Parts: sequence; structure tokens; C-alpha cells
Amino acid sequence: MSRMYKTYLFQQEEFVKDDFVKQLLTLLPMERKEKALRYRNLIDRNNCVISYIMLKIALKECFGITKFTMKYDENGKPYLLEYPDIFFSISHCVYGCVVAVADELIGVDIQNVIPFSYNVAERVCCSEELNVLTNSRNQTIDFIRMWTIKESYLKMIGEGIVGDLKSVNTLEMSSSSTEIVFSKNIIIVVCRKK
Amino acid sequence: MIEKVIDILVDYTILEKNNITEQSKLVIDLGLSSLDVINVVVAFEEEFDIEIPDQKIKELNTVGDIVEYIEQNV
Repeated sequence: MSRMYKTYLFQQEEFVKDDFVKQLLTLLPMERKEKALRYRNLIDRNNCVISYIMLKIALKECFGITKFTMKYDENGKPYLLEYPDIFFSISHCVYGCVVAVADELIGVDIQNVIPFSYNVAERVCCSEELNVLTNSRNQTIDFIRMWTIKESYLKMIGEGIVGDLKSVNTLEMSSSSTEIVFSKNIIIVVCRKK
Repeated sequence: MIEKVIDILVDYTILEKNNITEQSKLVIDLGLSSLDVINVVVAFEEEFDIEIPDQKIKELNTVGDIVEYIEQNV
């Protein structure tokens, strides 16, 4: 059976004006608006607002859904109360936000590229991955790619943002279930259940 | 103890040091990403010579939670 999924990206290449975000806030349900306003960092707040609007657009374009209620399960995984067979995932970083929708389990993660730390890699990578990183010519990019794959996978299965990271061996994951986008200083991974 | 914790956290947030309190939430107030959280966990483990299990990380939501955990495990 062919499956449907689509990914939407908003890149914060220009400063998002306050008036624009204030207008978007009026389109949010109270719960989401309160969540957005709790963010002290303006970029995080904007991303919270914009990603919800992106979700609205995505659900309408892909599935014709115009009304929905977003809830979170006990692990913090978001779901649609009225549509148990429609799945989505949201992620954001300082450079933008990404939303993925699908009729199968899906997880997405966006990560800005930051300096590589071997101590952190030892914490989250299995021995095979560490071996690859040790021999890599670009440890920073390779680690961020591994990290983002792990995060998108854990978000797909609903284990929460900080799950058992070492158990997710990115080298054994099928390339057909993940898509990696590398653009400027961000990496985006979409992980789908196969 | 909280001063040392804040000294580490301040490298990962745009917040000024004097705006970080025990009640500050790591994600909502400090704006930490999930990778930032791992980075600070590793920094705490090295600074205080402790171990913070993966399952425990999920429970560390505020600066106060971190301080409490470190004080109990140092």
C-alpha cells in the first residue's frame, strides 16, 4: 500500500516581525498560545507559533483536515485526538522549524551544526558509530547526522526526546526509512516506519 | 553548588547569568535543545564526577532539579 508523507520547512533567514507573529497567535488554540507565550526566548516562541501554523497547513493540504485537537501522550509524543491514523512530528532549532505529516509513524528532527565533542559522542553513540567518527574527515557533520537520525527515530517511536540513544545504531538503519537534508548549517532527518 | 551549575548552563543559553534561577526550566526558559541537554549533562558529569543515567535526564526539567540531583549524588 502506498503511504503518504510530506515535510515542511520554515527557515528563519530573516527576522520574523512581531506583528506577524502576533497575528499568527490569534489563530492558535488557547493551549498552544499559552505554550508559545511561556517560551522566554523569542526565536523559540516564534517557532512554536509558526510550527503550529505549518501543521495546520500540512494537515489541510495532505489530508483535508481543517479542525483537530493536538494532545500529548505520557512520553510527550504529540498526536491528533480525532485522527488516530494520521501522524505528525515537529522540530525546531535556532535556524527554523520543520513539520512532517504522514499516514504512518513518522519522526523529524532539525539540528543546527555545533562543534563536535568526543565526550558527548561517547555518551550517545555505540562502538560502531564511534569507530566511524574516529576515522571521519568531518566529525562534526557526521556526529550531527547521527544525532539527528537518533532523535528522529526516537520521536517516531514515541520514546521521548532523550531515549536510549546508544541502542539506536544509525549505521544499521535502512536508508529507505530516513531522509537526510543538509542545508547550510542545519541537518534535517525524517524517519518513517517501514 | 547552584553557581557552578549556572556557570555551565550559561554557555548554552542566551540568558544572562543573573536571569537564571532554580525555577528556570531548561527548555522553555533557557531554550536548550535536546543536544544541548546532553552536552550539559556530560559537563555536569565531568565537573562533579557523577553519573546521570539516561532515564534520569528526562526528569531534570529545571535548574533546581539538576542541583538537587547533584547534591544527592556527589
